Amino acid sequence: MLFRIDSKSSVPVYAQIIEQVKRAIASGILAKGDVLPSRREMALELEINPMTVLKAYKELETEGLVDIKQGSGCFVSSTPTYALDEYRLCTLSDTIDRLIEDASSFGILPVELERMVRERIESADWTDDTGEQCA
Amino acid sequence: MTSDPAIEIIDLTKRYGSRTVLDNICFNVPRGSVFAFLGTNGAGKTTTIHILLNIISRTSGQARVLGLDCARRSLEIKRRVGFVAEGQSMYDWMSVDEIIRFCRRFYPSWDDSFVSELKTRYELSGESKIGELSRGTRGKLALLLAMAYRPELLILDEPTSGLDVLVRHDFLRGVIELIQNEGHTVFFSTHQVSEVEKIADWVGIINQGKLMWCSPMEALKASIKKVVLSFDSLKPIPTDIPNLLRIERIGRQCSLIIKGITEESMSAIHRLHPASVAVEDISLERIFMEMAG
Repeated sequence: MLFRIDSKSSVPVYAQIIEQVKRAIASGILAKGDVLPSRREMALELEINPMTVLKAYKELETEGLVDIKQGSGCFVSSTPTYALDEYRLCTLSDTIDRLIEDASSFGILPVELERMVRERIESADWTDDTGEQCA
Repeated sequence: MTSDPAIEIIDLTKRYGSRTVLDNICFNVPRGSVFAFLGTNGAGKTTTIHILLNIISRTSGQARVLGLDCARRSLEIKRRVGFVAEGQSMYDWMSVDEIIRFCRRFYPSWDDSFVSELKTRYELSGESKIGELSRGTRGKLALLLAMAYRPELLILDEPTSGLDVLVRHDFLRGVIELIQNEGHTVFFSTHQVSEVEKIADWVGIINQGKLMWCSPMEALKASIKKVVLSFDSLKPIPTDIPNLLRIERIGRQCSLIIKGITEESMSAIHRLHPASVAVEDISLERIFMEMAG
């Protein structure tokens, strides 16, 4: 199963599901038209309240990321959405903010951090959407 | 379906002589909720449940189950409510199938196909004598009997206490099956927070006979926060910050646990001139320890 719940976290369970579905769509693990686990399957697998699953799916539907088809399930929406771009940008910004915060508390200079990031980018095994290696 | 609460408790008090075990408690369990009733051993959880099921009488106050007075309408309540308690006693000389047939007669809404589904899932053999079953298997049988008539309200009193982790998971899955349909309410008393924190959407916390908290789970988690402060130098932290529950410190960092952060708590914190302030969430288990500890 793709999804997991951290019960120690204070992030509400439905928000954890939303986050993980978004991540899976943003990273291509879930593609357009793929079906998500049913409310019952998801509730039993994660041992959570079925209403919580429903709440998460409904919110994802409102954001345009999934389509709920009565009786047949919850599908990844076929139209690319603003919500997904926003998710990608927010996630990266948060990670960068944490990086800067750590660097600053370790007393590392901005120019030093920049050099470290550039080095990591250059040595990373990086592929774009078409699967081709980027320079 | 009516919209009155599944359980309604108003100013409920129970005294044994001069000892008060329930002190004027008031709360509602909304229909369709999975309500975690948390408290340490001896906090008053079982006393509350026994009053609801008319096993003991109340000293004063009111308690209604499915809109019915718990003392005057207890027979009707028993027909519509499922109940599982820790180490529940059953007729040891009966076999599994015999007790299923025995219980079936009392409930018009008994669901045979659900029963056989549960029997298979819980690996219960019809011929086994109840007296020879393990504790875990007895627990599963008790849950089967309580769910077989698809009760509107399922009351669980420390149902998994002393059961192994596999049986506990079976138990939780059983409860999830029951609440697939909207409108079913589960009232789950436990002292093991981890058991219910993923599944419950409402929480009540009882301590020494007093109700400390009752709200949706998210509201509880949102109201208690940890504030982590870092300082440039070692200095004493004043304890007069509004709504402060606890202070912990290591080196130049200290963390404050605050119940219901207000503008005043935050400005009191900023007057300490910390180098950095971070507000963090804390787990339900920690919240429970702060309130009931």
